[in-house]
Amino acid sequence: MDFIIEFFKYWNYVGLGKMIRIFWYFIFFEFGRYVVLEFWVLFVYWLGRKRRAKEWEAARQALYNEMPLISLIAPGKNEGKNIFKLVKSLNEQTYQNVEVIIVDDGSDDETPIIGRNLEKNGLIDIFIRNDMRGGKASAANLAWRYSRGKFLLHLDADCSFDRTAVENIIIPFYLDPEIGGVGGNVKVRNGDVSLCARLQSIEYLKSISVGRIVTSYLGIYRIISGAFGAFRMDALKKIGVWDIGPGLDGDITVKLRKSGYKIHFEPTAICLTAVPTKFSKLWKQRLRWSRSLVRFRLRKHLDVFLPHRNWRWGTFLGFVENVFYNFVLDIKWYIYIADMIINFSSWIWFLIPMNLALYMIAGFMQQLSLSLWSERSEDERVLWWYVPLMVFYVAFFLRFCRTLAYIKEFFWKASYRDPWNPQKSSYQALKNGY
Amino acid sequence: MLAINKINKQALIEYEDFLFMYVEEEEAFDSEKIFYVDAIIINSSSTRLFEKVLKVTRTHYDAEIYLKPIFCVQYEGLPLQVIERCDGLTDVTQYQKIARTTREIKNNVQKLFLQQKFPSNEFGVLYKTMQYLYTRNHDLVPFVNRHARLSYTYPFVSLQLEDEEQKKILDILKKGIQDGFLREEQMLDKIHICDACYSAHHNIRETCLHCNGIDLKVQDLIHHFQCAYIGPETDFMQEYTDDLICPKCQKILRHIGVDYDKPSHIFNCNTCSEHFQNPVFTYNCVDCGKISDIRHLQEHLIKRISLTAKGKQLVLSGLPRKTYESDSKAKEVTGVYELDVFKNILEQEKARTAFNPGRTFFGKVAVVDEKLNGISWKEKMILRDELARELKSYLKEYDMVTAVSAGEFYFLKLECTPEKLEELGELIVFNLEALVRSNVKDSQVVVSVNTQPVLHNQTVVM
Repeated sequence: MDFIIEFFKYWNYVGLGKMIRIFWYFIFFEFGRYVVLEFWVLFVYWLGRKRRAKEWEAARQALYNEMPLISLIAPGKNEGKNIFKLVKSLNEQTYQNVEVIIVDDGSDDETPIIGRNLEKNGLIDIFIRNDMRGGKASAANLAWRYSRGKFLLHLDADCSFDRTAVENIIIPFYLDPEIGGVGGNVKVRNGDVSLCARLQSIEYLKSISVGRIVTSYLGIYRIISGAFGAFRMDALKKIGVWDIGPGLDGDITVKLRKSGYKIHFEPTAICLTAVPTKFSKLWKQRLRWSRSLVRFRLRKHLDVFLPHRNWRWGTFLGFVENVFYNFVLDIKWYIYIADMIINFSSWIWFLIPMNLALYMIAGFMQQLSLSLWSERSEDERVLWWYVPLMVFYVAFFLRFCRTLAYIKEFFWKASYRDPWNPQKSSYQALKNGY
Repeated sequence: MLAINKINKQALIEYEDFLFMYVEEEEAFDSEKIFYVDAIIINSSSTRLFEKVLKVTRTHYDAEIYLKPIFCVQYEGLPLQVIERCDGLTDVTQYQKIARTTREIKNNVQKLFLQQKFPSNEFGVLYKTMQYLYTRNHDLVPFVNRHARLSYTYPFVSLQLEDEEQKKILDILKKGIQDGFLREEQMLDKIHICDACYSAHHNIRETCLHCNGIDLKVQDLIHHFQCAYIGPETDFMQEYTDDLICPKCQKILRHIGVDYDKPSHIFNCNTCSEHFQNPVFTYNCVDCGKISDIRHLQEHLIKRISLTAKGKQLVLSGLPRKTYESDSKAKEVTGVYELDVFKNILEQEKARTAFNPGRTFFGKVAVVDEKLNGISWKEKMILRDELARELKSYLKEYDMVTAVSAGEFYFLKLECTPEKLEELGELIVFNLEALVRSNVKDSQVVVSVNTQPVLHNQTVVM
């Protein structure tokens, strides 16, 4: 009790000026970017809803007038147990002029039997198996090679889709002919399995469902999720489809941007995915994802920062935002913590609770915006209880994971040794600078 | 003691106390005389002659004849299908050996109970086969025969059935094994037969998953490690050089395992342009033309078969009387007889016509319909009985009918004129066609009736 009284006395004594000095990092970078900017963009976005609804209906009409063939591709390894669920979900779609192509990248489970059975029974159009694993990119490229649709949807086999997902992810192509790729709204299906999954549910809602509305609106949307992304077939051909991963979904988005195509995020095209339910598995997944920032943003596509024929502000700012918030501020955070410890060491027991409180307030504000936008807000109400834990999840778990990944990739190029890709491909990618 | 008497190009050889029929030419073979000889020796390279002698002898209704020993004189190139069905290869000087074998067989035949009536055609075939095995004192060993519908011929038993009924051999032998009369010995082969016509002759091919087309092209898939491009080999091939060049990054693929690999293959259907990796394996039956998935082929094991003690006991003591009286389906309709009985009556009728010529006719009814190939054996049997019954309904009580198969019937029309017979033929054609069409979907049945007068001393062509 005494501590609480002392705590409030202290902050009353410190005043607003000094509080800004202490929490400048939070106020300018975190609160400014993730609360103020997002609320403002979402408000503007909300204001334009009637106009968008009209345009959407016209585009939908155009889609159904043309009724193009859409190729749905699902490359993967050992996904046998998920394929039937995926196919069932695709068969329920409102848009039915589709072909389903599944590529089995050297599975050693029952995937070939299941895939061939589905093909034979006409539930999927093509099932291709590579006896030797070539990696996700080559599997996706193989599916693309045999696709005949005007648009191609890249899906993860462990995903399932809302009934209107395929229709809704294609409609944006009819809103703007310059759009080359559309990202779908990926949400967590198994959020109720563990604490780890619950926290990811909130994270996905923040960073994808709402975060990408904002980045897409600002023209800096930089990653079409591999779990659910749509592409114009001619655009894919032009950019030379997928290169070796990991992080190939972000890579192909940059390639599209660099080739002059617009990228769009469609929040109504909803896909549910299964996330890791244990922190140990999540750690490995995030190490892989985070390494791609160094590999692709700071190495392969460094030319985005330099003037060239297809240079665009959107692409440039998207990169700057990505590198700044994920890389520069990540390093800065450690400096900030050191600054706190050195300069405010005697008051550190007042600073830490305040810091946590501020992040929690920001977290609840974000959660409020998620509730306003989500079509499943009733189901997601339970997530409110976990918002306080997000502070620790984001500030410590994800940050430490990111830092480790950056260091390993920056100094030792760890992504080229990742077993996610076969060694033969990684070796060639390293040798040839991919 | 060897004496050779040549009568009408056909020699009869007396050796010790045996009389052998010595056949060299087809025209000289007189089936009427088989009964009087102890064995037949065929000295010819003509397969046709062998077939004729074997068919006439082994399908005879009289056990004394169908169990008659048949020898063939060794010729170079004499087909296996002949050698395996004879009781021994010989040359013209080995009469002692022929006599010894003949004596053994004859002694065995004399021990048999000469059963005349059987509960069914199929049991009759089984019984005769057991008799044959007993008298020969060796196993039933099927041999490969590319002319046989099953690709295998069983000595003796194969001759008892028409070509299209060969599948019944397997069923008959299986029944014999189940009843404990026969025993399976060493497995010789596996055959896969068409589920429609039971033929083992089919062409197996890869067909398109989508359109069943057979014009398929298979290509290796090439994976270029460096840029992750993967596609069929033709994507990488060049028009004027042998180089493989990646269509995505334009690099030359030099070294498999280093630059690229071939993780799989893909089929392209030139008929419908679809792509797939796992074509459907279908068979095209050479005999009935059916095209179907190879999974529909029926697998059967070809085994050496021996006679058990129970089987031996049966052929020595005969069937219990009630067995063959209660089950006979042919007895359900008066005037429909077993083929053996019919042939017997026909012979008697031929003798009778010596005193009353020109009033008795033999008729052969052929029912031809490709759709019949697609129905099961059981259904065929039902249809056969139904047609026989229908045929009998157009004849008088004293006329006789027999069913050879679902597609072939014989009848004997007594006390009839040629004009009435013609009318009867038209009636049979019309009504049997109507019956088949009403029973078999999309039937294109054609029924034909051929008749000939039954005359004394003239062979009836069946």
